[in-house]
Amino acid sequence: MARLDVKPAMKYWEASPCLGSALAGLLITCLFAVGTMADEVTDEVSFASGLIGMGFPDLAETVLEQLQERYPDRVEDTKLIRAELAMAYRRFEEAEKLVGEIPANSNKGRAIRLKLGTFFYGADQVDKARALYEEFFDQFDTVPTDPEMYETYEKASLHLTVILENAGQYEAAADSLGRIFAGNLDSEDLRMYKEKQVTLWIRAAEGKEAAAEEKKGLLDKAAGQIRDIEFGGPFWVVRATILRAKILLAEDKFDEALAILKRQYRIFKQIEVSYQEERISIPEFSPKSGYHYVRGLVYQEKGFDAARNAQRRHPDALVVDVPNSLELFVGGLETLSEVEKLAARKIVGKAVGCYTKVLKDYGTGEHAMDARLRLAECMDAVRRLGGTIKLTVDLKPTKPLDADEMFRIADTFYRNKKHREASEAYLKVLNQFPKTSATPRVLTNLGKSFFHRGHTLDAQATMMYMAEQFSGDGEVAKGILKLATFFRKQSAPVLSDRAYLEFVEHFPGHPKAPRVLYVLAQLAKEKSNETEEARLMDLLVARYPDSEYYLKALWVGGATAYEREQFDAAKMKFTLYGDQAPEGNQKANAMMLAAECDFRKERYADAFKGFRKVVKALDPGLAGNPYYVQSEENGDNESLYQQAFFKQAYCLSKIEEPVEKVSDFRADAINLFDEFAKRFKAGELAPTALAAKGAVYLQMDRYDDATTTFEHLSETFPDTPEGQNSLYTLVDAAMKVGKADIAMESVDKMAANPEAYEPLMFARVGQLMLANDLHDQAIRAYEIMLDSTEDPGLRERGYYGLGTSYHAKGDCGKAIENIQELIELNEKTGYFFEASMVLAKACRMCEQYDDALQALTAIYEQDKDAGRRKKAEFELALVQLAQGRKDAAFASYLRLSLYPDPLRDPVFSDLYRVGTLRCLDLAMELKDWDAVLLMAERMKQFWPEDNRIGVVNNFRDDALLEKAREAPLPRELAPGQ
Amino acid sequence: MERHGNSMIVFVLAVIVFAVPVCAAVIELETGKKVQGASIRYSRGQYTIETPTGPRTYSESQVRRAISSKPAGWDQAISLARSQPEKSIAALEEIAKAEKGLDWDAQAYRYIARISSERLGDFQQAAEVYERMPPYSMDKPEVKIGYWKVLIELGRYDEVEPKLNKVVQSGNREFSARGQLLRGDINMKQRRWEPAALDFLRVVHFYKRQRSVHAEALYKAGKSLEELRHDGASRLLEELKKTYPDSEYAGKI
Repeated sequence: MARLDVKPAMKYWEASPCLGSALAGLLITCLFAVGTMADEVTDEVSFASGLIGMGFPDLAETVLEQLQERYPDRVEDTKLIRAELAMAYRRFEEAEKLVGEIPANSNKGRAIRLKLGTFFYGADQVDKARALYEEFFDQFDTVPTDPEMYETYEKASLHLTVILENAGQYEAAADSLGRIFAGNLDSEDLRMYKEKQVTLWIRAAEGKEAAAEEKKGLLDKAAGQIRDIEFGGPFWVVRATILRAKILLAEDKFDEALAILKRQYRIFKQIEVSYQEERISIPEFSPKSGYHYVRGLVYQEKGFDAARNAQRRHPDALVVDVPNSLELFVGGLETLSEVEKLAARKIVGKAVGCYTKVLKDYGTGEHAMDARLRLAECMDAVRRLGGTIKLTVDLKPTKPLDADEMFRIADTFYRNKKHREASEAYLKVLNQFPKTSATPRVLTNLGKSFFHRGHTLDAQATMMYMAEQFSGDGEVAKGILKLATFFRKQSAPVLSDRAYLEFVEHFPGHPKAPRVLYVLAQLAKEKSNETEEARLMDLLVARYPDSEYYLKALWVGGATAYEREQFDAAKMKFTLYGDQAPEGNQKANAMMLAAECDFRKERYADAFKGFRKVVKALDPGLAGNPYYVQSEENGDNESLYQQAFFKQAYCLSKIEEPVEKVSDFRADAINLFDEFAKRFKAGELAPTALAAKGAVYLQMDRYDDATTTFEHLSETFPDTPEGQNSLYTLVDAAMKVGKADIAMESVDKMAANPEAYEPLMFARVGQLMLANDLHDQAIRAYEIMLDSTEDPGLRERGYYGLGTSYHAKGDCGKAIENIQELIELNEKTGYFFEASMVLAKACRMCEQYDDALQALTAIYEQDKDAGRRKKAEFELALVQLAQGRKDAAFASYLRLSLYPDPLRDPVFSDLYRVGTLRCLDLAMELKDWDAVLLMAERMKQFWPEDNRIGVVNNFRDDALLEKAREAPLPRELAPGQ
Repeated sequence: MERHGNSMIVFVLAVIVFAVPVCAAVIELETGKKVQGASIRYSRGQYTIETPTGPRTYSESQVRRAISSKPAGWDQAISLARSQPEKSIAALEEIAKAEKGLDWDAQAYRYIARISSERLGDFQQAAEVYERMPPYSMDKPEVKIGYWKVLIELGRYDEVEPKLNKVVQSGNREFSARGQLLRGDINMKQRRWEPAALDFLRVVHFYKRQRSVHAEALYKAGKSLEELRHDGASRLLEELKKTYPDSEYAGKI
């Protein structure tokens, strides 16, 4: 399995050349994948780079060749990939040359230089690698603030630190590390990096024996830095103590070094005790390992110094000091007396004791490896000083901790909410043991630790890694769900949703997947994200037909589709629900809604079948009907039963195919309505059913039966609106089925007994009659209404209706009278525009042109709607024509006809067309040939297929001819020439 | 059983029996405006839609598309596609004829083309059907892809390639990826293994998150590299097995 590919919050010394590749890769990926996808060359370069990354440099070369062939002028853009190729084939010289040609201050330049640096480091060319990294850092005057760039900057600087440290360039390594301190590091990370910087300075100082000033400068810097470190609690106090002891050691102040360690011994011990209590691995993490190790260093140095000093007293000694060596000159040890040897041996023996302690008690700690080497040196020294040592520890490397122990340590950190340590420990163990039975738990905890540290992107990356790498693993699935819940509790809903989505995608077979899908859909609904909600519900339905959420999803999906009027989709879902749900009100509702979908789509035959199915299922007369087992649902089911019963009859009456069966359907519908009346005498739909039955009779031309039915309606349900207004109901039904004579007869009956009806009924009748051009009946209805009400709203309606009806009848005087009544009653009436137009037309009809113009002026003054003003303009032209003012009428039509895009709005396009034609006619009469040509052109442009287009063409030809006639003759043909 | 709410019951009750039915037909004009109505007729280049305010007529040139409610027999015709493809085609032809000029004729043709190619292997007929479809219905990416697949089967590469080249540069990632795969298919058919491998690897590289095409691309890239005896072939197929263990392509390895 691949190493965990999340951002490693690792200590810098864990950085490796792979890290360099990763960061260069990160940069290059960003450059190619995000920035410039639109350009084919850039895409291909990115592709070629990807091919190299996938291990296909040969194919990348092919892509490159094709690219250079197709775009010879874009050779510059391919440098990057050529450089990468050269690196892949380890042709460093060529790579270096190509990289040198790419500007160092460009994003591409930076990325490729880092990558090349990595390659050089891998080839042991440290100076070249360093130069490239330095070039990268030289691009920045300060630490970059852009998070992505900072991440690259941080990783690059850590990587260079490793390179330099490995090359023994400690001071430069310390400087490289110092670059990132100005960045946004958390305090723990900053202390950790500063501690390392101090160590690097001390090591640099140790190499400056011959340059006392430089050495002092480095150690002073180190001492100053320690003050920044130690104020971080006991852990950092002891780390600082070790560093101080190391500085004293570098200054050859052995006793002071031992003294400072001794002074702080109590704290070292306390920390170890607390680690024991917290079950944190002592061999791995106790700071006392450092305590013993540094003491060993001091004793070793002191013992070696004692031996060297004894040699210096010898007259034959060459004054050549080899630091840290036991023998000052060749054969120097042989010059020592036994006493001198014993003295040195005793001190070195103490060092052996310290190192042994480190190896024995802290064999897997951070100092074990060095202690082992030092112990070997000291044993050799003791032997050469004439002594012998019996070792109590094995010098072979201690077996590393097994996975369980390492996991346990990391878990301890986690339980103690030491999330930095926990995440580092988890990463360390995962890199060593990527797949064990503990991995799911470990990854889950790692995600949480990252989140606690504020590294949400790392937390997300961990979660996605789990999903992608362990797809189908039940334990990992549990872990992702835990993370999702955890994120939600931590008020990170976006992260939580993401975790749930990853879970659903990668663990479709998990028993909890349906529930998660359902919850996600509900969450999408809460956010009003209807598309996502529908997608998730559909997924649930498609994937998990056996799940307990299947029916819920069907229901919600059906309801959503129904509300959006997507009736086919809604029907499908409700039908499935109805087929599979257990008997109960919910199932009945689903069946009902499935039928409703057909009803709304006017598929009456299908709707009939659907409603019939509901009727059969909900029949309370059936013995042991399961729908009536739960008494609290009985009322709802009975109500549905009644509705379905009514709807089946109604749908049957509306079926129109096959034609030869229509009369049978209607007869059956009447039977069903009768049956309905019997069963639901007092039901709320009973009057409606009776009215519907009457309408069916009308459709069947059985007028007597229809009349009887409506009379029956009136008698049986005198208190219902249908019963009270049965005649209106009849009129309405008759008009709907095209039986105007029946309707008029009924209106007469209503008029004969007006007190029996609400005034509103007459208003409705008037409107119905007017809409069907039955003007006398309309006038009668409106007049009855006006006689019987003082309601201003109804009276406005009455006057407007009368004005319109009289105008339609040609009685302009009465039309004017009624409209004026209306305006007098309420000059701000809602009928203002329509009434004013009727008034203008009526006035024109009565040749009261000034009044007509006044009515139109009122529209211009009070109505700002452009469309209505256009209609008024058209009427104005008619009035002007009636007045004989052809010029004025021409101008009015012209304003209409020159509208820039007359076809844009179909509502007005005909108005423009007629206006243009009238304008054309008037232009001909007025002999305005230019206007004729203009109008003819517009007619041909916008209405080329108009039935008057032939006339238009003739007019156009005439106008051209007339224009030619009117044109002045050429000078040579002019009269008198 | 848990109740999912009574709102729908109320909704049902609220349906007014005599209400004017919701619009079952829509005409989309070239201007972008949509006119709704109860039904549409098409005759001699003219569409007539019954609107609540009366019938309206539009000439063919004014109408971008006309959509009416699902024609009778549609579901049955579709349900026959698997078991009796010829019968299904005949029924769909009838529907297309009856619904000429309306959106359903385009839908019917699309199904006929798919049944012809996928069930009967009659790519010639499928191509002819696609070519009879109204131009607007060919705007849909899935229809185009279907048509191009048929043309590739017929070896009409010259017609498809320029279109694919255009598609792979389009903004729609899914469509673009599918176009790239088809380009690879053409190369595979012509036994041009390296260009094919590159086409498929482009999808592998650029469309990692398009899971619907990524598995196919891995498989086909692996197979074309196998033809080249490239040692990277097994790596890709391994990745396919690891990343998409349940995909149909992993099953083919």
